[in-house]
Amino acid sequence: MKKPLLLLPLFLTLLFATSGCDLLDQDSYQEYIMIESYAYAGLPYPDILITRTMPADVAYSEADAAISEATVRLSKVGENGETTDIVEYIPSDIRPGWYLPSDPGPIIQAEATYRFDIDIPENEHVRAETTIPALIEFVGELPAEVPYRAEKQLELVLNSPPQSSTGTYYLFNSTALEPSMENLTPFYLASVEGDDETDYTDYIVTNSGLISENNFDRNSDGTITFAYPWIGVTFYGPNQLVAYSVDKNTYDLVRTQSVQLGGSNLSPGEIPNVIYNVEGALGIFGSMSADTVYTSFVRP
Amino acid sequence: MKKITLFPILLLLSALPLHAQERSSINGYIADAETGETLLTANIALMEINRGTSSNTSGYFTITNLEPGTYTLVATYIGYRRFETSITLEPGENLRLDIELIPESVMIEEIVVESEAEREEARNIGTAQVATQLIKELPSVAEPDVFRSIQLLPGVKAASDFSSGLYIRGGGPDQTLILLDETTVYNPTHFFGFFSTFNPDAVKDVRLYKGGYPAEYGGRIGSVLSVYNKDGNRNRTRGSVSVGLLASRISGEGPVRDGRGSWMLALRRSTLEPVLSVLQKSVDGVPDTFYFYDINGKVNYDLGENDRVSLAFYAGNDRVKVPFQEDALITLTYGNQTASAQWRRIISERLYSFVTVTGSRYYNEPLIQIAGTPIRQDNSIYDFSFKADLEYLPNELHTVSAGLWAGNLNLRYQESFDNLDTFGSRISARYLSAYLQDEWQALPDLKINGGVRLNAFSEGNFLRLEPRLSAEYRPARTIRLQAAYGRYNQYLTLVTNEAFSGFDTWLTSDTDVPPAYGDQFSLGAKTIPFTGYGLDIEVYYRTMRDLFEPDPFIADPSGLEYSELFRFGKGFAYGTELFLEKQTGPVTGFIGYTFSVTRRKFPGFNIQLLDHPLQARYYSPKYDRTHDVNITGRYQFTDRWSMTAVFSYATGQAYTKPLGRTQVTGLPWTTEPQDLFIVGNINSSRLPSYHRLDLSLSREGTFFQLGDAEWQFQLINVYSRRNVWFYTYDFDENPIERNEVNLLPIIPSISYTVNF
Repeated sequence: MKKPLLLLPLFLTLLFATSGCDLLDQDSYQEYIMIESYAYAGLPYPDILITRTMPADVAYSEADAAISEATVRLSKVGENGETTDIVEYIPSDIRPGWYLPSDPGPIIQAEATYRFDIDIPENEHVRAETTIPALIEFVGELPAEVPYRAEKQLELVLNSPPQSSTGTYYLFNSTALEPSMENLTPFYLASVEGDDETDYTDYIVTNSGLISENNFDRNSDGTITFAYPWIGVTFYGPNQLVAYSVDKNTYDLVRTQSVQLGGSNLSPGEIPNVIYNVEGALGIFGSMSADTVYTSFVRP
Repeated sequence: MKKITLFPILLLLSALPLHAQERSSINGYIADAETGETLLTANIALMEINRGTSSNTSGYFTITNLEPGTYTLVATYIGYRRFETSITLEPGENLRLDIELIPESVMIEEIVVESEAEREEARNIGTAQVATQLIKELPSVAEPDVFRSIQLLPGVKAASDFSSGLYIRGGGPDQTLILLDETTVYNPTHFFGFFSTFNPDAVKDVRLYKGGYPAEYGGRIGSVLSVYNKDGNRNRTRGSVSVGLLASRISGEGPVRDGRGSWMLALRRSTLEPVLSVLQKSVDGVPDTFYFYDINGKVNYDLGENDRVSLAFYAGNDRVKVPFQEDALITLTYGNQTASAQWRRIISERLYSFVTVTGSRYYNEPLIQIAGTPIRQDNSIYDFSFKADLEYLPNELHTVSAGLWAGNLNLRYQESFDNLDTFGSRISARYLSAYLQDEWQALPDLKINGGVRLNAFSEGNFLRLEPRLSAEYRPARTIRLQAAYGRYNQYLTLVTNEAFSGFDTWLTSDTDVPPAYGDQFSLGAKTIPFTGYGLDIEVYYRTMRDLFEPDPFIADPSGLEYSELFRFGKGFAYGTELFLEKQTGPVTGFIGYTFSVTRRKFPGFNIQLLDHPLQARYYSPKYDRTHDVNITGRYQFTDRWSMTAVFSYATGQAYTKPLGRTQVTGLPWTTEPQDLFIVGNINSSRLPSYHRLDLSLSREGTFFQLGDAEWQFQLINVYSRRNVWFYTYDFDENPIERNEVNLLPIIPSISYTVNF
């Protein structure tokens, strides 16, 4: 009868042996350089913001995080890696951490590649590249007024050439031009009335999230038609509608940031880092093409 | 490799019958004398020659290769009076003896027999058995729950108070094959995962193979849970009614054609409507519709002495419809339907066969309509299969089993937004598996179980071989040393949310999506340290390779190849389990302790920032708990009153602690800065430890002389420990504010059951 008890030391030994293996250690906080800039096809060279990350439990302010001693240069990169249209950047006098192109002349060209080279004292060289999406434009005239929840949805026809190896991702954005409580559509009105922490101004600017071009069948003329969903109409009255075609860097940042906020099948509390496509730092040098139209949603 | 594949053949060759023409045998079914219900793993022994066996999953037993003569046959089963009779076997005689055991309603230690056979079956390596009576006695939040009871066993973990999902030896819920009367059940939950679908009134037997399971099972890389519903009472018509706060149950059973067969029907339905109608008058967001139901049924019939047929079915459905705001409605319907027909035949005293035809359907159809924009996701599975199994006993040293399982799996998944299909997949796969295994009593103290299982899956043309081997050595009567190894493949993966199983979606292997596979190694020691006690220790290590699961970073799956939906990773798990059980006396119960480590790794996930994007690191899944203790005790005060208590303690679950933060401010489609976390090693921090005490007090009595009755008063989380489920972070506060999302507070419940 005592023999089984002899197994207890064996068990305890196994427990002790296995409990010492492979327990994960938490990393300690490390400060990183963070950059942020977005280039738009057809517009001048963009500004760039350079900051440091901050500990999670510290109050964050852009001014506190700003880095003002960087040397910044933006170049256009050719197919063979040669650089042209090089523009040096100068720190903003008004906003710490912001750098502005010293020459406002060059224009960002669609489908071209651009690169930021950044040197910060006592940090490794930072490099970030983006390839600008092809130009997109809305085709045809939009109706001046669209009855809300009409049987036929508002259709946006977009001329958008196929591009990039990863496929084109769009993002549609609406901005209400006459926002007010009275102009909120029923669903959003109920949201504001039912939640003390929600204000109608929270819905002035909304977006669709990333949408793959593969959602759409191309029309015979190569355009695509996007039926604007009623969920995207937050206010009656005039609205600005913008379509963006985004580059891979923006696509990676947006899709992974949404996962950090819980928008995935990961377990609650399992938080991955955002995907950054920057060498030597975190952040984004994104780019996009965009076009804008206007219409007014009227009460049914 | 050659040695492994030849092993079963060698076993078979050594299994040829010896002197069969001179020998005798005995076989038959063993059943409950009161109900006729067959008893699984009951113990049958011939005392004079110390030969014995246990009944199979149909309640059938056979002892072959006996010298003619007179023997004392003894049959035992937990909770039943010992059966003893004298039999005389003539040369060459095959004696058919169907045994009926008389149940003991009063648990008196001196009378009630502890069946060693059942104990031993339950204590095979990696195996556990849960008594249906225990399921009903344990405190439970809503309903007596098979899965919640299983979660108390070492090696089995719960994701949260809200999830009945089984996380066994480092595997997620999809790594456990769940069978109801031999039929696969794909989403065995009600209330979106809060508790499992199996109605305890209908369940006869629950057995869990935590790992290292034999060749007769396959299809999952982790474990197998096999639930058998009752056959029904063959002698008299009986019934039961139970009224609870959340749901009520009614069941009936009775004989068919003078006991040549039986029927069983059990219904359960939620009874929330009165509460909802009151709440709807004063609270917004209360569901218009919120119910679940399940129906279990079974009919058995003996075609003759050697042929038994049965038909079984299950249907369960959950439906909720919540107008959660003006112009916003969520409708969710999900459920399972299964049906099986089985023919069991005693071909000879040495050969027993099962032929089963099964059908299983799973569906979930969430629909969200917000401001006139429908968002839909449909997933359905239709699985029809044919199974044939043979058990062959060539002599007293071997039990050879062989079988095949072939089927067709139709799986459909469709997403749409605003009536525009955004992703669709329709897979029709044929699968076939065949196995051969032999349990060989190699020496009086050494038993070896070896086998192979071959799997084929049409989508992707996969063909995989799985060797299995286990051995048991008994150095002493009270000690069993065990070891097991097995390889396992899995062609399915489950997209699940541990908080909410209503959206559970299954996806399969296909071209460029190879099946997950893994090896399992386990060592065990099963002992009886003192009379009435059992002490089991098991150590396991398992690998998980080619794990495939949907890539969490896919923003929009439109246009992607099926294989591009997934990320492919690997993992491993190891641990030590301790199970101490007190089986007799007024105080019974068990302590289960688990030390475990589970790790997973996927390319590009859990990388060090600024590192190479594919240099992933291992991380703990959230459900990984290093230490886990469950203490369950039952005390019978008097004939009428009893109390059951369950105390659970576990290391806090893994979570990711944000280390740093930053913002992006220039995205043109937002007006607010977008906050970004900087994290280190994913899930390398731990929530506060989890502990909880649940109590259940039962009083048995009668209901106006019409039948037995029982009141159950239960208190969940007696000291209202606010266990943490996960943290959320409020970016509106600066610095960021961390908030706890808690698990269940103290919850009382009451139920009343009448058996007539």
